[in-house]
Amino acid sequence: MRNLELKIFHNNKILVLATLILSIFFVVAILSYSGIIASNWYQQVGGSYDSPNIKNIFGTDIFGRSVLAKLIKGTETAISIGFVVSSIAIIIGLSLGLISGYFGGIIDEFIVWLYTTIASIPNIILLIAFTFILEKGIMSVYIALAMTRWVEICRLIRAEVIKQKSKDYIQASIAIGASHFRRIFYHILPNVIHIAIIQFSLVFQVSIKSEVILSYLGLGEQNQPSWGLMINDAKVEIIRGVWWQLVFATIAMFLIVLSFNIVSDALRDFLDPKLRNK
Amino acid sequence: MLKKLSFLLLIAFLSIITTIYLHKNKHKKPATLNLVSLHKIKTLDPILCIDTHSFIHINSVYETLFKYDPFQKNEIKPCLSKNLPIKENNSYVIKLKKGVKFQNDECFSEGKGRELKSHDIKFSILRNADPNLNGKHFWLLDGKIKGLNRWRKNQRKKNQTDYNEEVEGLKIIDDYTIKISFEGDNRQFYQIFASPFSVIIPKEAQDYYKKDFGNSPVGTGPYEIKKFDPQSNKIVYSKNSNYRDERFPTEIPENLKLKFKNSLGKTLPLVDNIIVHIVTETSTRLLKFKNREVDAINITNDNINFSLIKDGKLISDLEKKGIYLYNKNEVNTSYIGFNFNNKIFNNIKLRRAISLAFDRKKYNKLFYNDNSTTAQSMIPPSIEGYEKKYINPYCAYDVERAKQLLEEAGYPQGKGLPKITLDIRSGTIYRQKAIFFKECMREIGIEIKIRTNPFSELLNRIFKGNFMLFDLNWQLDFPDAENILQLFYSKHITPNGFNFTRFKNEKFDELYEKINLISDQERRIILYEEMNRILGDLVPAIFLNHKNHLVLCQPWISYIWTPFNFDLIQYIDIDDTIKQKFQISK
Repeated sequence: MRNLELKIFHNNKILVLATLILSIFFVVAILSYSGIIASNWYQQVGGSYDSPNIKNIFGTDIFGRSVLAKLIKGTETAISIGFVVSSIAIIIGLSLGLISGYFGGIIDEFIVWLYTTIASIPNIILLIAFTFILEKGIMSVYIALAMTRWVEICRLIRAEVIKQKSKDYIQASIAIGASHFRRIFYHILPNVIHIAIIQFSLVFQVSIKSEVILSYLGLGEQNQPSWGLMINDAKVEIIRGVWWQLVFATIAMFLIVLSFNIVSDALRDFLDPKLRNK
Repeated sequence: MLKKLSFLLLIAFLSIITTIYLHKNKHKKPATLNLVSLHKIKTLDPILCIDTHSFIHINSVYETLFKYDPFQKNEIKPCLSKNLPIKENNSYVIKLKKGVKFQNDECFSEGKGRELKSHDIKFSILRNADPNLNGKHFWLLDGKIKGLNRWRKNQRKKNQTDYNEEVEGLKIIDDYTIKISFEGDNRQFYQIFASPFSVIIPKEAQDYYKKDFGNSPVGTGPYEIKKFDPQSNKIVYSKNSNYRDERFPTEIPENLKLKFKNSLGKTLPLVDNIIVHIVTETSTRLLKFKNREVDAINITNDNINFSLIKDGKLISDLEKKGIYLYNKNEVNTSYIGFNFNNKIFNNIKLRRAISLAFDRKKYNKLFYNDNSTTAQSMIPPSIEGYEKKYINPYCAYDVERAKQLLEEAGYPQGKGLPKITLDIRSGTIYRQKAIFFKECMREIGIEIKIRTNPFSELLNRIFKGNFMLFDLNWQLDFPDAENILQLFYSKHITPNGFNFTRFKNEKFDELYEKINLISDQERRIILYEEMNRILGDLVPAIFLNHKNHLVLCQPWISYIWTPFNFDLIQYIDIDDTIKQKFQISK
């Protein structure tokens, strides 16, 4: 297994770099969450709109707060959104996909109906509707995003389960009298889990992007720094020549999304049996 | 011979030059004024609009019986009325100007605008009170004109409004005379009929356009808007060919004479064609202005003024281009209101602590570039009742005192106090202002949660009382302090009026009720001052500031703005020679 893990990085410097960047983001988010860094992000550390300088390398915002600290706190928001949303989406998508694909019949029809209905509504409208119904804030963003992101996972898992179900090893397990539970979790799940892992990394970065958009539109988190809010601030700042909030928030988002894409691609190449054998 | 030939050649040359010059002038397009609207205009139906942006368009097409004199502070003069009628037994007999015609429009027979008659006045008043149209401005007439409320009640039962039903207080005497009778003494008669929504509408237009009436304005004003499309990004005005001979006044204050020297005595409107561009993005507006594509932009609410204004003056870069800044006091007050239905805010010490912890000076600096007046109470400057000398001790910035009061209120360092939600409207600037408030409160240990709402949703919350704190700005409808003091009169608690905070105080109510019984203006001002001080002392809201009206103007226009006039576009002139000079230099 260790050899396999290392093989994925073999001769792929970009992947190493992307993983390194992601690790930094994760470490920063964890440190920020535990209050070790950026816990005093709201404190005034300089004048209003100080440009990047030695004391505040990323400059300050309108209230003289450090943009770096806000960026770090924003990383925490972004990573937490990505993590919570992809976890919920994977749990829902994987369970419904397994049940639907394995049992078929009316259960399958119901689940397919459910996800096609959700998929037919434009995502952004659905997100806005969710955030309007629920009280605005980070919790509603978690729920709104998770409720829209499980659909793709469910669809892929279901298709794969249907394929696996008819294979010989499942027939053999039926013949030796394995229970439904055993068939699903011991035999089918290990053969479809790679889809879930790849989807996890994809949903992670899509959620970060969606959170930024929602916050930018004023529908997301309003009481804690978020990259979307920093970009939204720039709407009135850029004309005054204040570029640092926009630039640093965009760079942060760009780096994390790009790194996730590279890692997802590598994971797919590595985990998908079809691609691995090529 | 040679002399003769040269002479003939000279004559020929001169005649060619003259012909070219005349030809050029003949085909010269009439000057067009390019203005900007900051918001999309949804409708031009005067009874459905509530925002000042829409009223600028409405009052360029429609007219009112009276209007504010743009050159004399808060003075009312006749507009469609021949004179200012005098009160007799709570009634006014209004005589209309003769020969005033509506614009040509297909709603009239043969498409020709007919003369304005007294039945149009009655129709327009009734339309404002029509329950089936859900007008937004009935509050101004509510309970004032005799029999109007009864008429409104009767119409509610019917499927179709009967505008011919008699109303006791609206008597048509002849084609040009109407008598309006009030329930009691009404000292706001002139203000009511000078309001931007009390415009005169022909019934034919409503009958002809029906639901499309809001997109098809037909009035007597200086301009007409042929095709209004709420989705379009511009509104095109042209001169109303039926507009009567109105002139730019010659008697104006000395200090304005130089600025308007070319306009004095000229026929109104001064510019025949206007294009109002709808540009909602701040940066695009500024770029258009800098490219000389538009003649003026309002920068009151934008923080772009930080990059343009320094110490109250334009930066030299713009000044060199001839651009000038129009800076005048607006008549408004921004405030953060408490919800008195919530028990914690009945604690006066808590309210005072919150007010003392708010740094107004820094707020003014950060968001207004020091271009607004810090509020001491509710009444804004330039309105009678405002005392320049009055300094409210609870509008000072004193964190230590605030902490002490908070402790006395029973919440030492904010302990025991729930998280307080502040409802604001969506938008970057509003959010940043709310964050500033939040940070100020954090200093004394009060935790604030910000909730953003689309503007309509915010109003909905305020009306329903579903809030703890709200941030709002009140623009006066007419120059009388009563218009803003009503926000704290207990009988006007929403939904009966605009007392959004649900504040109740016996002494304040008593004084408010006294206002209408006193005819002497001097004594009334003393009452206003007293009421203003009561509010300052009891802090039913955190008084923030009074904003200024800031407009950037190109060198060739003579811009004018006053707080209660919405028809001022007709007084704006373009000086073609200056414009050409600047365009050549560009």
